[in-house]
Amino acid sequence: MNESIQTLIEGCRRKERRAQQAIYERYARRLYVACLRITGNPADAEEAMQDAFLKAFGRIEQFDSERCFAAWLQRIAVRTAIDHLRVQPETWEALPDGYTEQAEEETADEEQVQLTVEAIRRAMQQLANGYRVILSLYLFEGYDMDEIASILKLQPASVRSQYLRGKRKLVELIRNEAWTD
Amino acid sequence: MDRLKDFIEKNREAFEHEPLPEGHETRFRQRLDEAFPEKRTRRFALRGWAVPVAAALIGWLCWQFPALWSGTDSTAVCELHTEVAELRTYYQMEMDDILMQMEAYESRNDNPAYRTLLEESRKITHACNRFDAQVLPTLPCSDEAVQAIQQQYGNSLNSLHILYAQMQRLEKSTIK
Repeated sequence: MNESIQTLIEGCRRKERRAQQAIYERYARRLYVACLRITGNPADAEEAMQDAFLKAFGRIEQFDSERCFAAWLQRIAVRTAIDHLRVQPETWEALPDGYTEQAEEETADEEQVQLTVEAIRRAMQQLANGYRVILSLYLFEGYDMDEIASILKLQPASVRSQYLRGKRKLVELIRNEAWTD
Repeated sequence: MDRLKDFIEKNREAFEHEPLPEGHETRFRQRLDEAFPEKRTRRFALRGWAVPVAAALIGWLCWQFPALWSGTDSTAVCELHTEVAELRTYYQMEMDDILMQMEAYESRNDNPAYRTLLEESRKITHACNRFDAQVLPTLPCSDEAVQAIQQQYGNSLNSLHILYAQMQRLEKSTIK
């Protein structure tokens, strides 16, 4: 049965289990992938993803536009995944808020590194939480530096510095993996 | 030039191919049951008089407030309908973001002040819902409708920002 999103949203408003499960089936993969990029491991990603659905079902009466439903869900999932990391302070290695360094263009070494989907995916999972979150939000979720700064409560300049540093680290991980292959 | 960003954008679809963990659906069903226990439906427990009374009430409401019945038909042909819908969605998402962050603060601080701030914030969003239900359908499809929405939601968003800032200050002062 290919029900329209609007029909399923209406069903969720009535707390119909069938509609809730249909929404979950339709969007689980998309939200899981976003959460996995942020949390870095499948167990946390699944928990964050499912938390996001439960939050969305709890506030679905506030939503009425079929067009933006996926974007609304995605936003909730991204925020939930980030909150998940915040409760694990020992793994959050973000640089201090006031940290800045001079912005640099890509180095020649970075330009020569062979990029593949799998290599980027594996390298992202190895990054420290702070770098991974910023790279995920900027490269995959489409947030700009100001929005990321607002979400993470950092200064935009610090976000940009951390992005550049995180990107260099990512490229280094990819290059090192290529050498060991 | 950001070579990494360019590569990701060109291969975006490939990055979305990630298998879901085995058993995730079963685990989610369990969590759903805990979070939203299914009520026993009492479809046939309505007393005989309740259904015709409800039907009469709905009929009376539709006669008194035709905007309720016409729904968005009258605005469907309005050129500003899309703008109005997008404005509302934008503001709702912004307010939702703030509410989520306030809920996160409230859940990690056992202090009635956080609950009070969160409750006040929810009153603001409920007021916007009442505006949507009672005022919006009566507005003409014109720039006035857009202005009214901007005023209602803009003021509400500003109020939420103020309450959220208070919550942040509260946590900072608690940490010190």
